[in-house]
Amino acid sequence: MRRLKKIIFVIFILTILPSYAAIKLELTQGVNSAIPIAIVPFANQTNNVPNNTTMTAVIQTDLQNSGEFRVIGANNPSTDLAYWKKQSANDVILGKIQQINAEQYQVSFQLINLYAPAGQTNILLDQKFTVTQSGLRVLAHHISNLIYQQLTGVRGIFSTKIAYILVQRPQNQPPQYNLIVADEDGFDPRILLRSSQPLMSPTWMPNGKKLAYVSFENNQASIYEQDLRTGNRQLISQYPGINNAPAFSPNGNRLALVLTRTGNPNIYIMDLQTKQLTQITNDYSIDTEPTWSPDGKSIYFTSNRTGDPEIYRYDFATRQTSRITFDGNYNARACVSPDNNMIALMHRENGLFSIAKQDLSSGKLTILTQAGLDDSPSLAPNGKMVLYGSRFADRGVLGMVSMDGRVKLRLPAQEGSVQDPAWSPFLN
Amino acid sequence: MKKINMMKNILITMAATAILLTASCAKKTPADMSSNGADQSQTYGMNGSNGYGSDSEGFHVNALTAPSNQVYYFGFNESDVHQSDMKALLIQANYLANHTGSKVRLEGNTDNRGSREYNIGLGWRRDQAVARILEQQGVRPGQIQMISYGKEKPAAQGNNEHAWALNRRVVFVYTQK
Repeated sequence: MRRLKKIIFVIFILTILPSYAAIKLELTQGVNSAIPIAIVPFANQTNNVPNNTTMTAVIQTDLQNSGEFRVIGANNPSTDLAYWKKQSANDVILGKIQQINAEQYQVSFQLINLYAPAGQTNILLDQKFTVTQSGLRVLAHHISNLIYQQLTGVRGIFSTKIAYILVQRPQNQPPQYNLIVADEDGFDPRILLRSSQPLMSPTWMPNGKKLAYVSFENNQASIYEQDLRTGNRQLISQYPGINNAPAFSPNGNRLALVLTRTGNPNIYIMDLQTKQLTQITNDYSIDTEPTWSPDGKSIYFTSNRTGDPEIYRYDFATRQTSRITFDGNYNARACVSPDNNMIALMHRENGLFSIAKQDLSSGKLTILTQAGLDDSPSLAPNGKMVLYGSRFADRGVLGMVSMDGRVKLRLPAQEGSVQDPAWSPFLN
Repeated sequence: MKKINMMKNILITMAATAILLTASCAKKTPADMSSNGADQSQTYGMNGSNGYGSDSEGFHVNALTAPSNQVYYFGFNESDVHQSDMKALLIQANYLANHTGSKVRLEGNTDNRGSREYNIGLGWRRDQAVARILEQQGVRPGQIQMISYGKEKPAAQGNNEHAWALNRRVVFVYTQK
């Protein structure tokens, strides 16, 4: 419970965004071969969960959108396990909400497996929480995480956040660029920074407490680091020319970035304590988009040293660089999976830009999206989903696709364009 | 091929310098500088509106006087300055070379296709192409500031050849005249 309170505290300090700028998750492609699960409406639940919804509606959306579950018999209040077995559910979630005083609610839930082997308990989870009304939504995501982890063995991402850029272009006025952090499902967007000049490349510090980003204020590219709780920011890099593509090392002590100190875009590593720079590449080509392997022993980056952009890996121990991608003539902006086995990346084929994945041991590349103008892939901290920038109805929208390609979701803004997303690490 | 192009550049430079000498000598009164005022409020970044100095397609038309802000357009995936822009660019180069206190900012841009961060690199290539020509004409590196916006600051919205062509550009802005 302490953790939940902490999360609420962090988001509280940031500016509340007008609701028209909110983004809302929409499922655009589902799956059939997922775990059938019944989520029985919790006893006494009302539409008092922030965003005018119920606990089970939030849990249902979370599980359904993960692609790992198929929610059956939604809103059916039956608590008869035999009935749910007949409906071919694998598992049932039951729960109860009790208001214990003016401020607080007690929420309990059970996860029951309908096919437990004889002699084994069929109650997989049985937990109780006390929260305020504003915490009900946070708690619903927490329950989704518990269920997801129990049934898939993988940590859930329903309490994580996303950062992105909202661009508003009012008629006959200069555009407004907003750096925003919202819940992973688009709820509760908060503005961290507003500028009349472009903002780009938001990236999370591994502890989830700060974001680094590129700002073009005063006609100068600069990299800043901003504290999410206080909103205070600190200038990290403002060399003449390019200051771009910041990426924190897994331990948060170093920052990979792109500078043009030699005249050409090259990759550097900055020690965040001493601000000392180490130059990693020294080419005439465009070297950019550094991203760390989870063990911090290597970085992947994009280079057009052969003429077209391809992904390369630089190993810190051997100082050797090797080429990683060979399919087609445009592969860029890699993002390494937490198990170090895959990269998500941008791939171009027949002039269309897709999000793709590549198996790092076999080298096999698989295309995940076909929209044509997709960019900026960012992996969920559990490696199961990719968040990316896309276009829909001539506006920038965010998309999500599962790494197995089976589930696709879209997060459009009600107004303006959203772009350049970054998925947070686990926050608790 | 490259050498022939270089020769051509040099010839054009000489021709342009000749034009410039006559033009700029005759035009160096404060009154004339302020009559160029409209040129300072360029329409770049105004969603391709057809304000001052744009043709019917929305492309900026570069003035052949100096100092005047400019926009140079580029082909798809290219960072070579168009031959048709050389005359205007060399006029600015000559002005800068002769006015060492004057300064210019080059703002490289790309169309909206491809990776955001990689496009910063492509915009930078276009800045470099313009800067190289300036420096060949004797402009000091300290007079040139370069910034690349990649695809982050489009002049025109939309996903079509026309919008892409309007966005692949270097905006050439005097920060000190």
